[in-house]
Amino acid sequence: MTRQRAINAIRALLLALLVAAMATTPGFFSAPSIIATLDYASLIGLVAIGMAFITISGNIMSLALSATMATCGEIFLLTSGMGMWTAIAIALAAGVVITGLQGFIIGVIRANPIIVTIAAFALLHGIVSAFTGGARAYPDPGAEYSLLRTRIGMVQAPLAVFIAGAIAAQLVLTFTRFGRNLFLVGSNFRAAEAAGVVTWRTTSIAYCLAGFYTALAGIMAAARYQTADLELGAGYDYEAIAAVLIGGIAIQGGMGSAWRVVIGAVIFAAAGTLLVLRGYSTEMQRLLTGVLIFCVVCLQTGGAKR
Amino acid sequence: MPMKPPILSVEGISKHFGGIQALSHVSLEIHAGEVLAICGENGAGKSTLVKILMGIYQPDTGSVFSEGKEVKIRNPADGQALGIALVSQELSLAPDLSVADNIWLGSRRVPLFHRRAALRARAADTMAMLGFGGDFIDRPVASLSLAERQLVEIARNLCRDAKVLILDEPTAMLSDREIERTFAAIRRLRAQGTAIVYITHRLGEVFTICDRATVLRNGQVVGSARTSELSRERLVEMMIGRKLENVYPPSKREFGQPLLAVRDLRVPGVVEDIALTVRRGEIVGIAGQIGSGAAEVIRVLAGLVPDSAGRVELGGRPVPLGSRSRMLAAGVAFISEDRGAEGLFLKREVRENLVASRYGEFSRLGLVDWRALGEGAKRLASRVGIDFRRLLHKAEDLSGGNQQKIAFGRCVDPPKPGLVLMNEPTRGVDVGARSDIYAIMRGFCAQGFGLLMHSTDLEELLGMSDVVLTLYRGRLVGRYERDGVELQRVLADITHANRSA
Repeated sequence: MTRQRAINAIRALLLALLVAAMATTPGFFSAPSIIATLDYASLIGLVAIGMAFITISGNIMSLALSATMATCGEIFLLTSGMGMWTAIAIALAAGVVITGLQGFIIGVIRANPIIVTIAAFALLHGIVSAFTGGARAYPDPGAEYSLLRTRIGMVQAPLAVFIAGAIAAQLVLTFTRFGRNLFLVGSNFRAAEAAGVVTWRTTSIAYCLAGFYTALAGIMAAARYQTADLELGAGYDYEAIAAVLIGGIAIQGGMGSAWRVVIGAVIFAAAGTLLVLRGYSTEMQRLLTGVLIFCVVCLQTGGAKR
Repeated sequence: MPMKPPILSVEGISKHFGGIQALSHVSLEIHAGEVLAICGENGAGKSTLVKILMGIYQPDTGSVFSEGKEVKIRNPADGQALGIALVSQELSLAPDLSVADNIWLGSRRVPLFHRRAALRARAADTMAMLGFGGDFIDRPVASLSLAERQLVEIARNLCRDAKVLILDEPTAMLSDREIERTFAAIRRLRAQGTAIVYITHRLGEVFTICDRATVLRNGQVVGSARTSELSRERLVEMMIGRKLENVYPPSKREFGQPLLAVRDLRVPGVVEDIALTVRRGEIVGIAGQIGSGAAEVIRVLAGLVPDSAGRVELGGRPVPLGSRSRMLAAGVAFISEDRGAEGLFLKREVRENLVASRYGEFSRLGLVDWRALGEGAKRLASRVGIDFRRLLHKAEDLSGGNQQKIAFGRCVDPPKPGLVLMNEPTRGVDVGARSDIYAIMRGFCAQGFGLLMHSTDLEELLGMSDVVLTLYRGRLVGRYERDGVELQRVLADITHANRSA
């Protein structure tokens, strides 16, 4: 219990540090920086919600979500000539199929989730490069998707999608049989099997949802930049898992909520904005990601050892 | 009688954790050349006491004496220096090393430059004292049985000059033949003047192997007596604080239609040619030692063994093996012997654990009706005697007995009474909760369930079963009706004592 108290103290300290940094950084509480923070939080957050389904299912994380995000962004732009909704549907379906297949393999033959997703990452890279010849994807000249780029007051389209997505994810976790089974499978796979939960199905659905949310992030990012290549999602796996862990979701699986992801994503994005405002490079943000993941994992696993 | 001061004694030891008084004013004496049983239900304070003796916990008040002199055991190293050693269920041997190497592994007594022959001789002497001769010390630990490994662990402590050996549930995982061997070793140790503290749930062993018993209840010593002057009933009464009438509720012997019919069941290399039937209202018990395949038969029928074949009919309808979820849908509940790894979700709430197999009953079109679920969980909890207020606690915070009641709660009141499969239904469950669980099992019979169980606790198996089947090396040996069953016959069957030619 004292360990838990120490963890809480460290958490409070880090949060105080963050708030202090916000207060002393000129311009952090200005509209542009808040908008930028929330915008950044939205894209990370969408991938992080997807990641959270995988983490809760007990499969730690996926290393293929960045590549999936990029692939879905490219697919959205390449099919944008067929109309916005059609393009969205195709990109989402691609995300669900790509990630859901990995979930099926992991769920049915109990393959190591990290290795499967590393293989999927390499496969996606290879296939997409072969298909596009390495060229960037651009939208169809006649494509119309300004809805995805609208902004009402402080709320930009990705933020609206993120909020709606988080609410939907929480509803799925709380009110569906799949959601309840997900917690059981994640907290004790053998016990879930013995209780008659169809574990491969639960795992597969978790990955399908991960693919869905990642594709949403890819679509929103592609619509923003009006172009996409395989680098579109670079780093998002790590940033998403950082957001999941900062939110306090256990890396061992079996617990967590969408709210925690929202909190984690916002804290992570705020820290990133602070670095930018204080004049640090984007490499520093990578460093921050690494440090944060290290800290949280050490704290969590240390706490688990009674 | 004591001519010498006790080798180890404690006086007035108290220890609290938060608001819970784990031990209060506990005093006891451990003598050289004596086997002392420490009895008590789960939560009585046995493990706290052991941890204080080992130097893992510090007592709030009270003193510890070693051979009459007051000592402080501040950490495990102090405990070792006093010659106190614990042999727990988790053994810490290196499987690839030989017995002799394991005995000396990590010992501070071995200098960098030493005579290997001297170490081997000491290891061989110690193993010989425990009943192992010749080249035993050269065998790799991986090739030993569980009982043999346990004895190696004991030898390891003896070679470190242990004077007080604390054995924590040493027979929990052993077969009957292995238990005999362990007992023989304990008797030899006693004759050599080692003091042994014996912790067990199996009351029979208290009388077989122990000289004296000290009973703990709610952190206090209820009494201490020589086992020769103690009856089994009196011991149970001391442990649970009340008289225990007939542990095994009587069978009503109202059997209905055959529920489960199994033919030609086989798992390659494990069981062969198993045929059995379970009628509604009947408890069928499978007796067999560890490794006999008895536990595996239960697992196969639960649908948890992919590599299995056979014809299984439930209520006249054939069901396929190898899928747990399909078996569940056919009305087959399963209670595992390993609550932590397979039985429960210890990190999740009690409520979730209760409904884990039955979200279907509380949801429509894949959506969970939390109101119905909350009421359903309350109903299940009340049926197995779990306090409502604990529904939102984590399962790991409950005692072993209450955890097992959760596992039974999952099977209660299904839309249609079906088959309940059980492996070791009361493992790690204390005496009081045991009788509750037996009552739940008989309650299932009254509702028209059929029950099939395996237990290595033969007294329990014979006490509860209407029909006993005996299994030896994966094959059925005998079948006994409740009236015609004798412990000796069952024992002979499962150890193959009569037939070994």
